[in-house]
Amino acid sequence: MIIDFLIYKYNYLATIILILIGLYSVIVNGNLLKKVIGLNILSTSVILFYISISKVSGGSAPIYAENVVRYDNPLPHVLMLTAIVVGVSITAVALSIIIKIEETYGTIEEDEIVEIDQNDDMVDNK
Amino acid sequence: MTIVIDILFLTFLIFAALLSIYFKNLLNSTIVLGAYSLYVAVLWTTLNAIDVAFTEAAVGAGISTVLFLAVFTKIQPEDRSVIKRNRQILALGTLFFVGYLLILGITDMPKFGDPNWVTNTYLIPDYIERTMHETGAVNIVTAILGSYRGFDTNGETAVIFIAGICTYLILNRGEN
Repeated sequence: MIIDFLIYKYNYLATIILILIGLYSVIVNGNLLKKVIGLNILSTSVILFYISISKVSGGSAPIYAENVVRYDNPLPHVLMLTAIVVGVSITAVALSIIIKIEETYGTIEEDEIVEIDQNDDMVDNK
Repeated sequence: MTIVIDILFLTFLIFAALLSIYFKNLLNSTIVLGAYSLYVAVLWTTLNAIDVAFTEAAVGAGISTVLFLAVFTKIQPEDRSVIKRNRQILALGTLFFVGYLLILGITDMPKFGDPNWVTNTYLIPDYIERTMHETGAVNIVTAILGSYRGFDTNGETAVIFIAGICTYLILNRGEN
């Protein structure tokens, strides 16, 4: 029974493991770039979940062809095309904020930024 | 056979994700993240999601990696952060709780590839039947993306536009 669970739901289990890896990186790592990498892994895991739902056993890719019994579910593919592009937009904005933080504080480590904020009354607001 | 390939690739994927957050050198992390995206693209091909696969290969593995590499012209490529004990305990507690809830959730999910589940029987056969003579497109994904859900795609374009403006404004802030 546990073997059945592992084999037939391995995709969903892998999704959960990837979500947890991404969340761990976002919570624990003090480096801002590592947090963005965690966000990337998180968004990929959600895409993996949707694509796993869309697969039908014995199904072919959703393009019309002859002698095809069954097609895969095309709707999650469409939704995930949108999700990939939005994920890259998030990455771009986050990385530009990181560059600005580096120019202002001279570091991208969370602890050092908090320390600088506490020591200086006025941060040079570029 | 498909299930064996699937399990193999997913295991590789988890290893790549762990490695990319394990490395202390940020350049290593970024390159492993690019390899991870490429693995994901191959996995989508084995799962028959072809449009998603080439979008992921071009946008996820290509542009995303280039953006990360562009940041290294400004920052130091090393992770000097010290992992705090209390924050790690808090994070592990949260992750166990979230993981427990999610595993409870997947016990109700159908088996992988079940053709009789509700997402594959409600509304989707209708789409597959009508797409050919209503839009004339051979690729069903393209037909839904451009025709049935055209407003959604329009909104996606708006998101890209807003993200571009935001990046431009943030990077030019303070330089009059």
